[in-house]
Amino acid sequence: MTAAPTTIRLFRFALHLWMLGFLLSVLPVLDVLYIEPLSPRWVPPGPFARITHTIGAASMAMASPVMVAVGIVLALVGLFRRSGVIAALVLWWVQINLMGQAWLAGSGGQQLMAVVLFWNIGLSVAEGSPGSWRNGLRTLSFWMIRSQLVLAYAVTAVHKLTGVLWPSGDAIGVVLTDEAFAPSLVANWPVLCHLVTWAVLVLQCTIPFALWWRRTRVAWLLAAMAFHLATAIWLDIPEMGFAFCVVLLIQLSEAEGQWIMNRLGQARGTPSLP
Amino acid sequence: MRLRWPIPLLVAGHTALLAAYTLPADLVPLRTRALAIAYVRPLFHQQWRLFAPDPPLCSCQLQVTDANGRWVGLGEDHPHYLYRRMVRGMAWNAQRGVVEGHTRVEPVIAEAIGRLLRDQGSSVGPVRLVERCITDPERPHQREERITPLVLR
Repeated sequence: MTAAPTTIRLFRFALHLWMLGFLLSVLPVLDVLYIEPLSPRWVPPGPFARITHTIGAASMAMASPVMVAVGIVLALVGLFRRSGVIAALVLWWVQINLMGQAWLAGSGGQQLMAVVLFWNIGLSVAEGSPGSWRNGLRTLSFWMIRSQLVLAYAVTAVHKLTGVLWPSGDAIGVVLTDEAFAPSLVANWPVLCHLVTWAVLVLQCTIPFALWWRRTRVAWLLAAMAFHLATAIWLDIPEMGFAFCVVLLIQLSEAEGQWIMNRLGQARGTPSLP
Repeated sequence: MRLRWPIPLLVAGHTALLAAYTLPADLVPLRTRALAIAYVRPLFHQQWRLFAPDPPLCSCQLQVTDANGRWVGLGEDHPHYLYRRMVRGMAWNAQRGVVEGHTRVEPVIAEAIGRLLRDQGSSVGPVRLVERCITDPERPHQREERITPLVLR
């Protein structure tokens, strides 16, 4: 098992970009999320709550805006400089605490990013010599994120296969006629709804396998990104759609990561990202 | 330091526990599930059941009366996606209670609805849950309306 250093750099860049975008997006509703929150205070039992629900446990509502500001600064720094272990640790702590504070506004995308930001602490360790503990930690974190992504697709596929409406092809029609989501017009074409339902099911069942082979990886990555962008726009879960698009990048091989970095470098007029 | 074997073992063990935590409960032995909950919940909590195993057949909305006594939706047309999600979360929680036969909203959600009412500038008047339910999944546009008055305290 090895890690792909260029893929890790690309992934970490995208991760900081997501964090920056998410934290900027919460600014207009900072008051109802954290200052006078709509979500009642809730702290889970157990010793870890002091870390994951520090603000909630201490009833320091005004600390949340400070955490948002710290998160924005760290995400910005991470876009332009190689950030270290402390910065990665603080960024994870910010995300998991903000998520715990505004738990009613949570989503699978925020949960995914909280887990990924935890493993990002390991990725932020400077590269060491082959066989060193530093490289071991980077490799471990890299594979934890890869396995996390694959598991998310596999589990959701199993849940859907145990239902009735996904195998029958009716699920998308049911979702799109819920006024909370759009576009309900699509539900006027039942054949299209059936095809989209089965396409989603096929994608989620096959992606845990397709991502490991060079021949299928890029096609499935692109299909998955298109799917997540569609959910971001029409299912009112933008941060979740973009979170998956970010984490999908960790599945790129070193050569594929290098290809994208070269293109990005050309676009920026510089050789590579931080 | 030899790291060849510990890494695959740690990744496999961690992933297996995540799977035991997130897979449908009836597919996982009870003891394994308990171990997975103890390991995963504090730092790695996640669930992958959005619209699964089936999307809900009933959409739901919280409604209150406005100054003219008309029933209006509560906060669902807010321009921010996180605000709308919080409102939807409250409605879904209230709906879960109604499905189980309780019109009295569980205290933590009742408190959230109270905060929402204050934020929306609504008086703490009657609140109701309006569900629009599909009767035939092959005709999802045809929905039947059900109205349930909610008890907040």
